[in-house]
Amino acid sequence: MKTLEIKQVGKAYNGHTVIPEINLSINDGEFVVFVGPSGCGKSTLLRMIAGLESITKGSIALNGKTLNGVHPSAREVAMVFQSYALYPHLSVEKNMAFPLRMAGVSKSKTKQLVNETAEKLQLTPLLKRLPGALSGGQRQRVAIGRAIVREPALFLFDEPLSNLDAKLRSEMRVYLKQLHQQLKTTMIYVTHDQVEAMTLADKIVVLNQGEIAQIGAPETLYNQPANKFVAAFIGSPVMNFIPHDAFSSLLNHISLPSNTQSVGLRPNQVTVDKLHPDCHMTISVVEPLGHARLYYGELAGSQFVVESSELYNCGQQLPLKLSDSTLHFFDHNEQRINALEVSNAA
Amino acid sequence: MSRYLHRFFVWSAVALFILPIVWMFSTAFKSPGEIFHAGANLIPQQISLASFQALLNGELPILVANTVFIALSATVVSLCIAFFAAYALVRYRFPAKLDNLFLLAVLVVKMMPPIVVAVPLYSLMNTLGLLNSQLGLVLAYQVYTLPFCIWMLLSFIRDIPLEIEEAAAMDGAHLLKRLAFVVFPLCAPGLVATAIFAMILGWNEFLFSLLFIHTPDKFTIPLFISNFMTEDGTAWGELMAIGIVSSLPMLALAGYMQRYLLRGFSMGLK
Amino acid sequence: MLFENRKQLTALLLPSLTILGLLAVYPIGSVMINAFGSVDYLSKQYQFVGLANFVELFEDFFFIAAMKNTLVFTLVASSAQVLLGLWLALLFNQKFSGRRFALPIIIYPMMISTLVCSSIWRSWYNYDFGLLNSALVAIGLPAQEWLFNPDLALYAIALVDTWQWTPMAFLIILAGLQSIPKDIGEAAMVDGAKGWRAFAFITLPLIQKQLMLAFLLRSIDAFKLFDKVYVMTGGGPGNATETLSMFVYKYGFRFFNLGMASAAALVMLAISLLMTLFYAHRVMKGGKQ
Repeated sequence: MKTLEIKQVGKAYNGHTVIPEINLSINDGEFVVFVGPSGCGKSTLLRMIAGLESITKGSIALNGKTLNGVHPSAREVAMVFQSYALYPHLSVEKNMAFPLRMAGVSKSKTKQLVNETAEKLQLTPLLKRLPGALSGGQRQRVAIGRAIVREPALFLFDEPLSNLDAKLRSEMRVYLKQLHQQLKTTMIYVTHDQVEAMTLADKIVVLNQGEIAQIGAPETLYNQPANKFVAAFIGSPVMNFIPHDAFSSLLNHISLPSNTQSVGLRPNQVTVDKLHPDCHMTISVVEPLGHARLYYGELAGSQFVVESSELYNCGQQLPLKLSDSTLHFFDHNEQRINALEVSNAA
Repeated sequence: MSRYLHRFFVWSAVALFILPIVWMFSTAFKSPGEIFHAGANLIPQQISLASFQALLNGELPILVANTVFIALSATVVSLCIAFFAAYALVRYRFPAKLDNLFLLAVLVVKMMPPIVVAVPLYSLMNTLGLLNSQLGLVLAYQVYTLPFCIWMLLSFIRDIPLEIEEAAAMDGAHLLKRLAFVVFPLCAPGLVATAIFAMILGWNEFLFSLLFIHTPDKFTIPLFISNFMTEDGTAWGELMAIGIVSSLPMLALAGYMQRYLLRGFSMGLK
Repeated sequence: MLFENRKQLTALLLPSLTILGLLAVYPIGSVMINAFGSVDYLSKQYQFVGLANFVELFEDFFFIAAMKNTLVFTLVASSAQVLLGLWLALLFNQKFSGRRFALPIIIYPMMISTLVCSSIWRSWYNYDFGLLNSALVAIGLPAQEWLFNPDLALYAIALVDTWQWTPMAFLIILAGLQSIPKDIGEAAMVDGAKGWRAFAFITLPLIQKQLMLAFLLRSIDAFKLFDKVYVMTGGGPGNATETLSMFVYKYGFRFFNLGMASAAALVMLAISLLMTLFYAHRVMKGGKQ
């Protein structure tokens, strides 16, 4: 069942188009992540769903009811903000009670709901404190508590983890995922961090310059990026790209589809093979990661990175094996050439 | 500069700036005979409350009551309407920078010499039947207090993160509820500071009370001081005593107000 | 999108717009009309006279004197306040014991009302019993007719204004000094700048904005000068302390010459408007940086 239906939605500020047109539907109970570089329109899209930004064209409907022109306070949508936006003058308890109080829920019912939610989020000992006296992670949980206490139809998260340090961020990721499994409510989550997107999402929406670059499950995006933008955006370290001509002269036993413009290879899918190398790369920089090393150099005139647990040093020749099953081909419009055409060419 | 020279300059400056105020206190507590005694000693030989007694038996209670009433009313009126206006100016996205234009107009009113509008205001008060009335003075004081309050509150409301209000909107609070439960409590310290400053503006105002108030029963303290000076120029004891009464509240608040003094002026500057 | 509709906006702004319209826009409009006309005091008949009031104004000896006095006062008082304020701010920008107590004390003068200020200083300026003449005589100098000497009276009032308002300039400049990051001073020291050179090449350029702001704010305020003159000299001796505000007051409320009073008020408004626009331009530009 579809929860949220976004139809031909566009946004312009003073004649300057930010989002040309977006069509997207989100199913009940899904955890959807909007990801993209800054300025791609992901936050604007989220804020349009929240009602904090007006919609220039198109329509947004939640559970069949159109949201156009409905004030944020009248939508059944809750949001967790990047800065948490806790009310600094209210205690944790009153922060969480705020949406219920606004909705006119009775005092005893409010108390009961707040206590239940606090229990669920392990916030009970903090109920009487002011937000100023909480740590970043605790504030985060209060913000989530305030969002879930009134059981909205849809949760929005606007880069909620970006103010936390790296360790707490990975803890909160697991926590959020558990929460989603427990509540089974539809969630939309905005981030610029592709690791966060990959780990959290049932479905990722990659945005670029106000348009959807690809929608899909994390593994689909990783293994079958629809275009060069998604290929470069998802995965770390970033995928290597070698122009078509250079690649042909490097490896002439692989036949490329005729319309190939560039070939992409993920750094961790290139193998170091002393016995049957296809080619060699001179190592210019070595970055040890612990479990493996990143080797930087140049291959066929392009910057190239290889992740490998083999031990080589700066200046040495790195023997590389490029297996054709790990290659991604992109055409002149930077779109993916799908597997069928690839096999035809072979 | 050596440390001692620095301390010398600092404390001489402090002494120079405080001297007239010290003199005011000492004169008020001198007996009428001692004030004009040759050799201006700063410490009264004998503490005398004669000047205060004369005032207390005279106009002082009614003066204080008048001035407090007018300053307080002017402040309450200004603060209420300025709070709403400042909020709209901070949060609403005006087309064609109309908000800046409005703010500039308010600034021009705040900065212009009040005598500029005195003559038409006098006719206006006359038409409205508000001459020699405290209500009229409260209205006239809006020329000072309203622009001041708008500018000052602007800076406090700007300090409230937009996200907090957005969160409140998402939590189901429409405009009035947001103003009451979020914006108002969050800028309460700012409202208090603004109220105090507006009170002082009203408390100290002279020109409009001179023009619009005619009978002694409605006099404010500054107007009384002015009359007292011109009529009884050398009754220094009483003059300084009323000066103390007029200054005491502000001197007591100086430490608190110092933090906010630059707020309304500096705008972008911090 | 925090507003649900236009009506809310109107409801929030309407009270302020009404009050300002009634108490500022209407009177200013009325001043403009009267400045170009002549109104008979008894019959209230209005007659358009073009620039006649302004021609008369600029030929009027009293107006020229008031204009000159106001400008001299504004310039002298504001400059003195900024210079003294700068000196004080430099003194207070260093740590010393008792700074916490000294700071509120130094702003006492601007806390007390102009009328109280004037009453204190008028007593001090008293020829026979005043503190200043006692001090002068004590060190063997002749006593002065502070407020009755035409060459001295305006400066005597400027001194009162300086005493009262230097704290304002001081606070603005001190805020500027304290906003200079510590490492800039340290970098200057490492680069070999000390004492006067550090002050002239590092400190002064960095607080330029605050110096300008203090000067403008004090000028705008000093230009209004009325209360002190009214209670200390009444404009005298002769017209040595006549100011534009006093001029408008006298023509409007004593001579009932509406045309002249309005024309002079309009001149004042124009000058104050220029200063305000300059101030807004500087400060708003400064705010965006």
